[in-house]
Amino acid sequence: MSKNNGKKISATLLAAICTGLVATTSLRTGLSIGIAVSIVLILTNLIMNIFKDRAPSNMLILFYMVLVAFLTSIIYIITQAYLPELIAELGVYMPILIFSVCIIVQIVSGEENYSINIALKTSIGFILALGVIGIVREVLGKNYTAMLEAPAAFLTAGILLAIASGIFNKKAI
Amino acid sequence: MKIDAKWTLILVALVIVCSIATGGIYVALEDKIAENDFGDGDDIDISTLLPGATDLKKIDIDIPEDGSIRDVQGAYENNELKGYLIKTDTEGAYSTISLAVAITTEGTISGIEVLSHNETEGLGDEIADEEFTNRFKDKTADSLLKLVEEDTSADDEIQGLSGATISAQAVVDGVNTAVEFYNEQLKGGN
Repeated sequence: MSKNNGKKISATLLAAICTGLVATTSLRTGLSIGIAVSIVLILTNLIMNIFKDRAPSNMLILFYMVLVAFLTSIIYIITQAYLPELIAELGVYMPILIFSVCIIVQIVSGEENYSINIALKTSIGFILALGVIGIVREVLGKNYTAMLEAPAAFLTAGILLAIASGIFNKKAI
Repeated sequence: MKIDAKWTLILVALVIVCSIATGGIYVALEDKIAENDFGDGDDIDISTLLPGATDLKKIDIDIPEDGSIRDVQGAYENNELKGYLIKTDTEGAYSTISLAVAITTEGTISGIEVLSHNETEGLGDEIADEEFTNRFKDKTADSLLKLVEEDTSADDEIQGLSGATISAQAVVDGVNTAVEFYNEQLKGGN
């Protein structure tokens, strides 16, 4: 079970990272999106605990989507008020990204228990990955502007994944 | 598939509660968000309006409550104040005309730009052309400007646009608002 769980988290994480790549032009944006997604993901799964044993299981995803949309809107509004520099860089992509990542995490993991455990693990991995990709692209982007273009995000993610696989001597996925 | 009426209602209720909460938070933070929105300040190239200036910075000054002045920024070259960029709104023939007026620290209008307007196409919209805005260039801010129909004979006169008198007058009024503000608040440094 635990092995299966690990595999599930890796696949979920990879799907989330690929969606989040657009925000990784610098360490700051990468980390910010990572943290924002984590807050929404963890809070949503927490609140889902109220519904998951009571509501019909085929309706749970609807509750999940409403909650994600709600929390994303709130985070977007608060960011607009207190971190305008971030909005200047990410603009409307910020809420779009948070919402997409949270939905994709739910769909890919196929998790019907809405467990905090998986949300927490995915979040930590997501913040770390976006932070590392962000810092690599920011540093290299100073000399090679191509690193700030979209394809470079996938290249960076792929190479980092290969390095990570090498270090841990096993398949990352 | 069985539709659960009770939970459908709960879902609808949840959507309504979430909407109200989002709306409430937005209203609570609305002022703060508006404060952060620097609007169209970014697309003004200050070096064309005020030769020599390179940066625009916010300056600490009270803007009149009546809304005639929208924003005042200092124009700097390497931290040396060269002049001011004053944004004003003025009522044209059919629309509100937004202007940016650059006045140097020496008291000369170094340039104006029409930021937005919705005047008649082919007539009133000539106010945004350089041919018209250049007529304000190098006018003194010591006195208010006057719109004349014929060729200008004095230094404080601006030649109008035939067929667009009201729009042209609105621009002159807007520039005069900025000039008045400059003379009252900004002249002689701050």
